[in-house]
Amino acid sequence: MERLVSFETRRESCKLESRSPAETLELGALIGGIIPEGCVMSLEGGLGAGKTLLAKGICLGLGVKDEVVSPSFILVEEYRGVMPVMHFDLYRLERVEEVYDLGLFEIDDGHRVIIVEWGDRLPEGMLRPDIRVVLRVTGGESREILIEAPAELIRAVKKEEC
Amino acid sequence: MEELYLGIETSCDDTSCALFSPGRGLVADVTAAQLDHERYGGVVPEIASRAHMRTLLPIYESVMEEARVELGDLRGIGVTQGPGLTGSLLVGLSFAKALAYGSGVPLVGIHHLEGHVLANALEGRFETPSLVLIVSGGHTQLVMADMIGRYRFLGGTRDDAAGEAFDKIGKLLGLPYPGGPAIEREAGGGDPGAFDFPRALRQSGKCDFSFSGLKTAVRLKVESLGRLTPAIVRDVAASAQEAICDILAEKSLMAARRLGAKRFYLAGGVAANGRLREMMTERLAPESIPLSWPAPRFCTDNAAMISCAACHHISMGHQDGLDLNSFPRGNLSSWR
Repeated sequence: MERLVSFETRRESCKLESRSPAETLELGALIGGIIPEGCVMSLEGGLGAGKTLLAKGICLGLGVKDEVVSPSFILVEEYRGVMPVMHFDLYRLERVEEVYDLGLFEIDDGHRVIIVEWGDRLPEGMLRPDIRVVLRVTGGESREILIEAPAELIRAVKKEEC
Repeated sequence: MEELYLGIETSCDDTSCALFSPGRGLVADVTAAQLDHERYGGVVPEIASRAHMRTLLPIYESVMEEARVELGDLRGIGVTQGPGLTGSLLVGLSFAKALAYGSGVPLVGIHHLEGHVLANALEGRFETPSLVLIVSGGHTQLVMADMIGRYRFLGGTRDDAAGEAFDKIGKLLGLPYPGGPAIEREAGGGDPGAFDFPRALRQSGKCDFSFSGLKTAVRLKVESLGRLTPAIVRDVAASAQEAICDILAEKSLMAARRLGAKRFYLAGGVAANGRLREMMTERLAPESIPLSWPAPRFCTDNAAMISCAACHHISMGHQDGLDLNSFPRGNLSSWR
């Protein structure tokens, strides 16, 4: 599957089951391999749900060579892949105003891929992610993964699943 | 005139300035922990740049007053260049550059992690070649220090940092922030063998770490136990701390044997953990490798370590221009 140039406006959602960290990583790599530049993603789910793992996969698909680690402490990490990637983590954030201090919205220049862990900590409508992924722990290694995204991304993900 | 070096640190949450003298050691040191973290359970109410901007000048003034020294009398100014939050780093950098430009005092950019390593030189000599385990909220890595200013990255975490694991496990257990000291406190009354939590990458044969799976294992355990009684909290805390320290100590020992290390240092916030020090000492003693660590207040982010690093670099003739820029990431070996 080739990288998309842009997204169509029609949105869809789908629910997947990941049986292992390897599968979650693979899903991330698939998403990272097709998203267009400027894509904004929100990764949601509690501690240990697999958000950073999914972000690792997405970066893998984007050709990032560096080790992608959790930005919980530092709040944001920047990576170079086939396009620049900003990996945010709002875990430590309490007030919405701090997001302005972080410069999250100044960075959205339409070229960089923006991955936001704990994107659901922002008020509805503030982030407007192209892709929203919600991970839920269903067992030791298994996760339920809900994806809300433009229709062609959902199609690509479903095709890979079959 | 006494040789004095100013250090400025604004890479993350804390704004801090310090003065170091090669003869007397640390002369003055002021840190504004910007916030009352505890109230927010691990959350920083006001992050970064704006808070640094408000607090940096008063902190600088108070450190200079305390030492009764004028800007023009300084031998050098060191400032954290990275890694860290770009906005926060720029506040410190711009301030340091303005001081250097206005006074002609030499300026040098310091790698935040070298600062942590050289916190070990604040109260004694930092011997090289040596191995250093850097463990904090944002970093976990093993570094070979060939000499001051020359480091080799041996390996690091592939996901969460050790300090982050402490904080997040603390949160899962409903403990106050920061999680490290809280877990250590609870662990004192618990059974470290109560639960067998995973030691990831034990067999990898490399100096790499992973703490993400441990966090998930603790979460699943906590959920399966139902109501968290104080006794359970103590046992989970003790077992989790044991898992973190065990793998840190084991990989450290592996690296020390492989490289024939003669000296070992701890650095970073987690170096303040008593169990880690104890376990590391136990494992390195049979190899006759002396181990040391900085005083607890120099383990967390501080400018004292930056002023000490500035002293070493400027003494070696290193100096940066006013085009000095921040870098958000990058490890020690690729620097300078």
